[in-house]
Amino acid sequence: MKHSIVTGAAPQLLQGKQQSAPSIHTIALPPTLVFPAPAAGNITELLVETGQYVAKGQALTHSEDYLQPPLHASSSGTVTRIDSDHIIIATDGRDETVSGALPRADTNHRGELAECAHRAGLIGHGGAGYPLAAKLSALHPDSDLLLINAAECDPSIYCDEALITDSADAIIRAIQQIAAYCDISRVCVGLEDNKPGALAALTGALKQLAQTSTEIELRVVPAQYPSGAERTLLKQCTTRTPGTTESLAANGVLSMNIATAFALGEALATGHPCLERITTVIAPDGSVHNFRLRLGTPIRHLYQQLDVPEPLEEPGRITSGGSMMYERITGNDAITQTSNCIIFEKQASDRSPARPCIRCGACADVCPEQLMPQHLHTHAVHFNQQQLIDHRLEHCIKCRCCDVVCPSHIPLASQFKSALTRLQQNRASEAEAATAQARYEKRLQRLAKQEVRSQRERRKQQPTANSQSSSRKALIEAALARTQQKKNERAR
Amino acid sequence: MSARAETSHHYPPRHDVSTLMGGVLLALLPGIAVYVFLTGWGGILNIAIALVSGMTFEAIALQLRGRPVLSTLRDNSALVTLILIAICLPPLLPWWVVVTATAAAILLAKQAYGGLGQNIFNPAMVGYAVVLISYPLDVSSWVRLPEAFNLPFNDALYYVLNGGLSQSADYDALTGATALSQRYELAIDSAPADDLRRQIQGYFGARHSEWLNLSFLAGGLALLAFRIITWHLPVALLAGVLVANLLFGDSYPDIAFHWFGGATMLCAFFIITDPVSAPASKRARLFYGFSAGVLVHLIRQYGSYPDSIAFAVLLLNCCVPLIDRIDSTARQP
Repeated sequence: MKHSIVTGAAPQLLQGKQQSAPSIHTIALPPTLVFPAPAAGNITELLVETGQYVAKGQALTHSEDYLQPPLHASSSGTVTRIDSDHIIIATDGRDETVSGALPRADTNHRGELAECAHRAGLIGHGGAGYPLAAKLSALHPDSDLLLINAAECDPSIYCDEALITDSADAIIRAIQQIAAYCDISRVCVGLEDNKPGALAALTGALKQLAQTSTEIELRVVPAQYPSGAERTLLKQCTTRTPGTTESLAANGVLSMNIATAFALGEALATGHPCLERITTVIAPDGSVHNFRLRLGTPIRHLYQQLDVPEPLEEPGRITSGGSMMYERITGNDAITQTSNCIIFEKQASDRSPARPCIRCGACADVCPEQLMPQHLHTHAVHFNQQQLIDHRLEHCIKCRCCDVVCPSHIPLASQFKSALTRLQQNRASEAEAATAQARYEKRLQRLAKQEVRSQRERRKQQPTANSQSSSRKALIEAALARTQQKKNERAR
Repeated sequence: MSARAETSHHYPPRHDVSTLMGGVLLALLPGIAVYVFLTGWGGILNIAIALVSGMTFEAIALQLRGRPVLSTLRDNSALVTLILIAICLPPLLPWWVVVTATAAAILLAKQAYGGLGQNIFNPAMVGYAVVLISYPLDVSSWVRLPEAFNLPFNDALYYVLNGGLSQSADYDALTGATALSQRYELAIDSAPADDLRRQIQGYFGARHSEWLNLSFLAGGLALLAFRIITWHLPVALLAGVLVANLLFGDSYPDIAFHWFGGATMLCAFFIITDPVSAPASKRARLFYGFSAGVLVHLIRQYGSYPDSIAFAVLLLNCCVPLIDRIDSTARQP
């Protein structure tokens, strides 16, 4: 709170946060579970086939790449369909757990922690969904701060608060374990000031710890969206201000969502992969629920549980990610580890169309990353790649603060998102082209070398006769020289 | 991508271009009132001709460009431009002068560049500058102010339609010079004689135009209070005039004369604050406003035009892309 340099949208964005988090409910096991199939060309290997029985916790995919964590069946049943997009499992209701657990990480070594996170299939639960193992293995060896993000990233999300209230002790244990594995002595937990229940739970859990080697600090930050963005939170919790181009990991900070930390702690303690998460669900009537949901639960099953009269089939009425950082999804999609909030809207939104940008700069005033969205907008419309990079498009956290303040109603964040996708595609194809070019040049070199070698060999074969005759000549000459020498000696 | 489906509709925006522009219009009301009080029917006719002709031009241009006409007209941006042109112009102008100004502003400076948001020059100032250069005599002379308000409607209308007074009217030499142009014409220096000084000096600023400036200041403060504009541009411009007056100015006219003379306050709060033709970042805006202020003073002091708002703003408009570029290059890590 000392460091109130954070801009961000106005406090009215927090209207929704008047209430405390609703308690967690578990809903009936869904009849089917849906998992995304590994994309074509991916190195992830599919371990199951149609018709196969799978147990709860059984791995569906396998990959050694930390960027592609495996998927696990979150309940027992039969694989009914595998197509290009989905793996569908019909549950049998018995919920049989697979025998054999994850390899236990015995020694305190961060490589083992990363391996455990990978085997548990963990990705970030905060929303961005970065694979946890990749984050842990890329961590700077001298990292000295573990930043636990308990500031909910969106004003309409309550799942982290509910989780803290529900299992504060387990969370603190998990945090301690992670800090020990990573050999980090300082832990900072950033919590928004509108969650007194969660704060009390965490304080209570901390008091019970008698003597610990790690120091866990609780930092209460103002509930101003987007304080859940990790850079913003770091600035608010510590005096550190990472450079705009540097990653937090390069600054020696391991930043982790509190639900991710909890899931990792559970994986360490039980040896089971991550199979469920807590999701905030906002029903069409505006009521807020926190559900403990199996990963792969279809969204359709959710609104059946909510007693929604008719299916919300028309597009644009279901979003995932909260009221600000949302993405549109459909009833056919399913809960993943990043599903922090599912909102069902009463009706498709109706907004006035966008007008041209008048460069008023309201967007730049609220941008938490201090970008200039008005410039980015111009360059995104014309897709000036270099200008977009120069104006730090890649630092946009898609918080949509600019959208909210834009008097011209321009969908800035989604423009930036698609520009970023295009930029990344261009980069990827450039990289591919560069690889192809390098490969081609290597091939040319190899061919040239081969040519040289074969020429040399041909030349070797030809001049053997010559060299033999020349050596014979030399022998004769040497013999002649010797006889001449002897003659001379005799003559003397 | 559809604009409707993708913005953050959970939280509808607080502002809207039309309400912003509507706010600017409301803030102009005190200025308009003083203008009408000073100029009488002449001023009212100016405003009416500017609005009718300008809105017609805007509608025609939008139609030709294949843009939605009614919804775009409702963004109120053309209204602001036209009112600004009208209150910059002296009363009792032949109608074609006003129409030339609005045509230049709307057709040339705004729509030819791609409409709202695309214009690199401030449309109102382009319109004003075009008629200032084309009709220097008409535009730089104001009706002698005490008489202006009392001019009957019929005479004013006759003047506007025909470009002169009717034979029967006995107002000869109805028009005169403004304080700033008198200062320029009479070459009033640092120590003017009392009678000369009395001709141009008002209670605190320039004679007559001090009241206009005061009303624009009031409207501008309202804009600041409602956060329609930020302080950066007005403060920078007024500071620019102040610094230039300290460095290059004489003991007379003083800073109050410069601040409350000519169109300084109008420029500071309503013209230079046009976001479209201003640079993007706050730092760049400070530089832009300050430079405009210095330029305003230098042109008044050394240029061959009595007032200089239009030229100063247009010259700075030319530099905005460069300022923006330098600013964002300097910003990069």
